[in-house]
Amino acid sequence: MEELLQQIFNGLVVGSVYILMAVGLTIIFGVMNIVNFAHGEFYMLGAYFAFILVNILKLNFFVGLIVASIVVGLFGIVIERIIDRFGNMAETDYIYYTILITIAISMILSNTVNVLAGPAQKQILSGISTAPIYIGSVRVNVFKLLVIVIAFSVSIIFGLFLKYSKFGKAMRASFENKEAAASVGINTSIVNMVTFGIGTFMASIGGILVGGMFNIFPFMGSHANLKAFAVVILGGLGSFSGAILGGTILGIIESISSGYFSLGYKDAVSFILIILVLVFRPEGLHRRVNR
Amino acid sequence: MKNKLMVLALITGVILLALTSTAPVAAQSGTSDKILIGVIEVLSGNEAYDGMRMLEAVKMITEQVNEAGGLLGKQIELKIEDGAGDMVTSANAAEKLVANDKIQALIGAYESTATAGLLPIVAKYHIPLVNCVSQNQKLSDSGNKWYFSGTLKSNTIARMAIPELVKMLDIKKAATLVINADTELMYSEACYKYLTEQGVTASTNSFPGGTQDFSSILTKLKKEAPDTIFINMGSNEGVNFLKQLYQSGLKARIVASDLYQQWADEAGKEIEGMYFPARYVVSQDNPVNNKFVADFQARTGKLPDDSVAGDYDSMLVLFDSIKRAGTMEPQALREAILKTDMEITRGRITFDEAGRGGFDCKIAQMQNGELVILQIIPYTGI
Repeated sequence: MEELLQQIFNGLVVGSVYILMAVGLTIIFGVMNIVNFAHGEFYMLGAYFAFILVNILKLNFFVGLIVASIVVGLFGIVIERIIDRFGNMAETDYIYYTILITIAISMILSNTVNVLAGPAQKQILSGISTAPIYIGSVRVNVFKLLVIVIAFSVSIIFGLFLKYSKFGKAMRASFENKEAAASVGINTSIVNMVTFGIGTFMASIGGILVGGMFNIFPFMGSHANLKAFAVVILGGLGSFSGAILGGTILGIIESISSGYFSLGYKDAVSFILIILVLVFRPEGLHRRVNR
Repeated sequence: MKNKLMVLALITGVILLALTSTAPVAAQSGTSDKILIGVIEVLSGNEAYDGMRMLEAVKMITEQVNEAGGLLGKQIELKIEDGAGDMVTSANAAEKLVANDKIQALIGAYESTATAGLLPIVAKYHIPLVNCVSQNQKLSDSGNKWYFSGTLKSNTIARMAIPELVKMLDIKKAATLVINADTELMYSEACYKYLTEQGVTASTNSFPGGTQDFSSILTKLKKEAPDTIFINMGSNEGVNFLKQLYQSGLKARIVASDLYQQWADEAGKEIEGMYFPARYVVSQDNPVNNKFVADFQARTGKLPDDSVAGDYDSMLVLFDSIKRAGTMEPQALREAILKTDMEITRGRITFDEAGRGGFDCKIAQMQNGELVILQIIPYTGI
C-alpha cells in the first residue's frame, strides 16, 4: 500500500506537467485548428529562458518562472502572427500548412538552442528544497508539491478565465464555430493570437518546472510533445477539462505500471491505453463522461 | 496562389536552415591528393553532447597528423556528417559520404543501432569502418569483413568484471537498470547471468531512452533493497538518475558501465564512491593516453571520457593501418587493420580474424573526484 501511494504521488507530479503541456496544446487545436508540433519547443524555450534569468541573472525562481513564461507567450504570439497569414486558406490546406510550419519551427528552435547553448544538460537552480519530507509514508519534497500546486492552480485559473471572462467566452465561441463567432463581432484574429500566447505560456511553465526538478536540454521538447499529444487524445481533442483528466490519469498509470511492471514499458503502457480509448471511446474520456 | 508560393518559400527556407544547423561542418569536394575519411557523429539529439566532444577528438588528431606531414605524403580531409544516433539517418549519411564525397575509410556512428545502419553500406562499397565505441557484440559477430570493432563489448566486459566485483564488494543482492535498447539490454542480461552464476540474487530493470523522471523505478528499487545496482545508460539519463538516486535516500552502491564527463561536471558528489568496470580510465598511465588527455584538455578545457577516447582510438588504429598498408587500396588496408597490435589510449589492442578487437578491462572507483584503478583484468578474447 505504501508503495502504491508513493507511485500515485510520483504519477501526480508527472501528470501535472502533462496537464500544463496538454491544456496549451488542446486549446490551440480547439480554437485555431492548429496541430502544433512546435509545442514542445516552447516548453524547452521556457526552461532555457528561466535558466538564463535564474542561474545567470540570479533572479528569484518564481520571478524567472513568470517572466520567462511571459516572454515565451509573447514569442508564441509572434509565431502565431506568421501562421495567421495563412488563415484564409481552405481548412484542409490550412491544417497541412500549419503542420509543416510547426514541424519546421520545432526543428529550427531545438537546433538553434543546441548550437547557442550547447547540448549539455543543465538544471535550473530554484533554491527550493528537494530534501525529503513525509506525508504519512509517502516521501515527497517541497518542489514536487509546488509542481502539483502550480499546475493545478494555473489550469483552474485558466478554466475560470474561459468560463467567466468576456474574452474567455469569445474563445469558447471561436472554438464552437469560428464563422458564427466572427459574425457576432468577435475578432477571431485576436482570439487566435491570445490563445496561442496562453498555450505557449502554459507549456513554458511546464518546461521550467521540469527544469527545476530534473534537467533541461535542447531536445527535451520532442518527448514532452509526444506525451502532450497522448494526453490530448486521451482526454478528447480540444477538451480543456479532458486534458486535465487525461494528464492526471496518464501520469498515474505510467507511474504505477513503471513501479509494478517495468519502466521500460512505460511509453508502451500509455500508448496502449490511448489505443484502447480510441477504439472504445474515440471522442476521448471526458466527453463520454459528460453525456 | 500567392500564399502557396509564400508557404513553399518559407518551408524551403526553414528546411535549409534546419539542415545547416544540424550539420555544423559542411562537406567539401574531394580531391585525389588527399586522403578522404568519413566521420559520422551524433551532432543532434539526446547524445549530441557526447558526439560533439568525440568530433573534437577526431579533428584534433587529424590536425596533428596533418601538421606532421599527413599520411602517405597526403593531407587527410575529414568529411563530417550528423548521424543523429539514428540508424536511417546514419545510413543515409554514409551513402552520401561514399557517393558524393568519395571517402576511402569511415568512422562512426557512436550508438550501436546507428552503427548497424552503416554495415550494409561499407560491405557494399568495401569501405573499412573502424569503430572503437559501439559495444553491441551482434555488430562484430555479423560477419561483415569491412567492420572493425575495437572496444570491449558490453557482455564481454560483464563476463570479465562481474566475478571480480562480486568478490571485491561482497555483493549479495543486485539489480540492473539500463536503457531499453539492444546493447544495454544485452549488458543487463549478461550481468544477470554472471551475477546469478556467482550466487547473487538479481533483478533486471530497464527504461526508455530520454527518461528524465526516475521516481517510479527508484520507489520500486527501494522496496527491493539491492546492495548494488548495475547501470548502463547515456550521459543525459545518467545525470538525472544519479541526482534522483542521491535525493531518494536509496542506499546502494552503483556500478556503472561507463563514466561520462558530463556526470563528473553535473553530478559531482553523486558519483563519488561509484565503481566502474571500465574500458577507459582517464588517469591510466601510458604515453598515448597521457598525450591524448593533455592535448584534449588543452583544446576543450575538459577531460575526455570513454566515448571520446574511443573515437580517438578509432583514428589511431586507422592512421596506423594506413601507414603500414602504404596505400588506401581497400583490401590492403583491411589486412593492415587486422594485423594491428599497438598501444592506444585504453591499453594494447589487437584484432582477431573477424575484426573484433579488445584490451584489458579495469575495475575503477571514483575516490575524491579521481577515478582510481583498483584492478586490471587481462583481455582473453571476445
